[in-house]
Parts: sequence; structure tokens; C-alpha cells
Amino acid sequence: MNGLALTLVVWAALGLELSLRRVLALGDGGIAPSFVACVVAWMAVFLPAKQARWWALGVGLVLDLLSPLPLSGGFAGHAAGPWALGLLAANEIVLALRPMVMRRSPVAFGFLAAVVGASAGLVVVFVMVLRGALFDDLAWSPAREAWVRIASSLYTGVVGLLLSFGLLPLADLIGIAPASPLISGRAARNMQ
Amino acid sequence: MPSRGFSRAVWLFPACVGACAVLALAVPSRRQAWMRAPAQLVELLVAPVSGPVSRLCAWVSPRPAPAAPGRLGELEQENAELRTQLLAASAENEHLRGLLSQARVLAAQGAVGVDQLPAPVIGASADLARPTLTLRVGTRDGAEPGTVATVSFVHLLGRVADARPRSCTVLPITARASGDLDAVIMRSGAPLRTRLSPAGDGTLVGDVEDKRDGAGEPVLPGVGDEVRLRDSVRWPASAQMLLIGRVEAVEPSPKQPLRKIVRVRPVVGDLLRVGEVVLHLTPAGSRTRTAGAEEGP
Repeated sequence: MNGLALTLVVWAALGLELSLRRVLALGDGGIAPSFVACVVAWMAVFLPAKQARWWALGVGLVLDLLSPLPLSGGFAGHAAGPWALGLLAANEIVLALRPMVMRRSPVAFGFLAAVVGASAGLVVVFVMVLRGALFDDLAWSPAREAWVRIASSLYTGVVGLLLSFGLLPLADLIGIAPASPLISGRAARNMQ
Repeated sequence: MPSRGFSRAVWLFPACVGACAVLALAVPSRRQAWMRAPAQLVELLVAPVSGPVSRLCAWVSPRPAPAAPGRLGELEQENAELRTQLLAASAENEHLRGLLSQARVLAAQGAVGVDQLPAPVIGASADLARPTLTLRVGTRDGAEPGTVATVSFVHLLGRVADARPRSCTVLPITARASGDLDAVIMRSGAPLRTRLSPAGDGTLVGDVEDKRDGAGEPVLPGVGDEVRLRDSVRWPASAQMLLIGRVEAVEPSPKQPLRKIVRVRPVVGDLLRVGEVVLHLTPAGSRTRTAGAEEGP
């Protein structure tokens, strides 16, 4: 596996997340695709489970650093953990699902990207609701946030389907794809 | 030694996950101020991708505040700026007249010099449900928390929520966390006061005051009316009378059917899609007009 190439892919996804995402947003409600969710799904599909978990945790922590937390009164703070936990949980779901899907199918990849977006988003909403109830004074509407994240995950699925035409060949190029796509199920799990 | 290495490998990942869980669920954000330094580092690392893509998107997508081309556009822009300055001066005069009548004028409340600093947008929050913009100016350029941010000098965008040495975070007025703001709806002859709250969909909603003209007829807001900031308590003098947007809809208030509520949409559209922002830098100590008054006896 080429770790540097993987880092560059994550770096590009984070850059697009901060710039292109707001341009692709539908209306003013914040429904937008997540490039990071697509890349996390891609890594969870192809990387060994242990490495995928570390990458998901790391990318989640970086996303926490890039997501200032608007507090009541017009100030911004930071909270480490919500996205790290969210992407880790999403990664586990994909790890559980990947023996059951065709890894090289664009449709399956779009589905998994949507699963990552939805599950990570819902974990973030859950964590933020707890934070709001316990100590942080957040201006939040949990029901609306959950709806926005679920709608965004569907959008992420569509974008993931399109990105799969680049990401799936890239997995071979940088050497993270398994040697044989025919090995799946219990045999693939044993290989990890 | 292998057993020690094995032990570290086994415990390191659960320890990291546990640390994340503790930080996420048990540590308030005010105790995580140490994250500003790594956040700035990550922003700088990601900026070589997000900055050029943001500029490309701003170039490809239509300008948020479309102006007529050539000389006509320049005149329209100049007209908008002069109109904002005139209204701000009128508001300042009215405020000072009020203070004079109460004999509470402070000598320090003179005209406030404002430096305008254009700042490119290099990114937005990764989480659009918590909308913020990241600008490539920071405390070394004069930006600080509370600095007013505008688009094209006259359209109110929001305020700086957090400032680092080389970058800062702006919270738009349409974000829920930015809170309420007092404003006036510019009806000819009879401006109407309103208190606007972010609706969460890119608009602001608020009740309109009940006002009647000389004949006793109610003065009602109309669709398309300009709405400008008039909030000397929460916003500095340099932000007064900046354009918030235009009235998009007028509806009966659900709480008081005889009164109206207005829905206001910023003229520049989606505030998260702007490519360049202008910061209004004011000298230290003149942030808010009321700050001096509060410090008095």
C-alpha cells in the first residue's frame, strides 16, 4: 500500500469538503454531498480492517478540527470527537457490510458512501445533542439536523457513484485493493 | 520485548477511541481551546486545495451581488455605499440626539474610523449544518472576534467568531448560532422596527412593530422592502444601517394575528457561497457604542 498516495487522496477530499461542497449544496438548507464520506467508504471497502479503523479515526479528528462549533452569542469553539466517533462507527458498518457487496460495483460503492454519510451524521447529531444537554450552549434543532444529514447522505451516495469511476481504479493504482476481487465473505475476513 | 510491542498495539487504538469519547461527551468546548493551534495547522495544510477550488468556484458561479457592467455598475455600487453611509449617519445623529436629551453624552463617542480590509474566502466549515466561513486574514491583519464582515462593502455578512494569527472564522447572520438582531424595514417616511431571528434556511424571520400613520392607518411592510441593521446593543457603530436583505414574504403573526411577521432574504443569496468578504476593522475600544456607556458611572 502506498501510504503517501492515500494521504494525498484524503488531503484532496478534505480540500474539496471545505470548498466545492458549499457550491454543490441544494438550496440554503445545508444539504450537500460529503467527499470525505466517499473516501472513508472507499478506504473501508479496500483497506484491511485495522488500517481502515485508524484512517477513519484520523480523518474524523481532522474533520473535527475543520468544523468550528458555533456557540450561542456568536463565538466559535472546537470539540474533538464527534466526527471521529461518527466516521469510526460508519467504518464499522461498512466493514460488516463489505463481505456482502460487490466491491467493484459503482452502485454498491454509492450505497456504501450513503451509509457512511448517514451513520456518521446521525452519530454526530447524537453527540451534539448530548453536548447541548450537558454543557455547551448550542443553537441546534436535532430533528432538522438529522433530516439534513440523511438527505445529504443520499446526495453523497449519488456523488459517490460518480466518484467510484475514479476511486475504484485508483485503489488498484496505489495498491490498496485486494489481490483478487473474487475472494470475499469468510475467506476475505480470514485474509485480514 | 515482543510482548510489550503487542501490548501497546492492543491498547493504543481503544485508548485513542476512549480519549475521543471523553473529549466528545465529557469536555465542554471552552476547555478545548487548545485545539485552535492544531486546527489552524490543519487549515493551512488544506488551504492549497480548498483555496484554489474556492476561487475557481467563485469565478465559475455567478457573482452573489450582480452588478451592471461598466460605468453604470460603478455608479450603482457608489450609490449603494453612499446610501448606507447617509443612513448610518442619520441613525448616528438620531442616537446622539437621544443621548443629548438625556444629558449623557460621553466625549469619547466621536466618529469612528473604519478600515475596510478585503479578505478572500479559503473555505467553509466541513459541517454545513454548522455554517461558517474561513478567511485568509487573521489577528496579524487586525481581525478579531466581533469584527464585522460584509459583501461588497454594504451587504451585512456576519461577524468574526474566532480569529487566529493567519486566518479567522466568520459566522453568517443566517446561522442559528448568530442570534437575534434588531433591524428596520425601510418604508418611505415610516421605517418599521423588527427583531429578526435566523430561520435556519438562509433567511431571517421576525415580528414587525405595530405602527400607524397620521391618519391612523397601520403601516405595513411590503415584499421587496429593504431591511437594514439597527442594533446598537449587539453590533458596533460601523455596522449600523448595513443592508441585511429584502423582505421576501409578509404573513400574519401566529401569536398575534393583527401583527405581521416578515421573512427576509439576503440580497447576495446564499451567504456561504461568497468568494470575497470585506472586514470593517475598527480601532480597539470603539467596538460597540454601548460599551463606553456601560463603562460609565
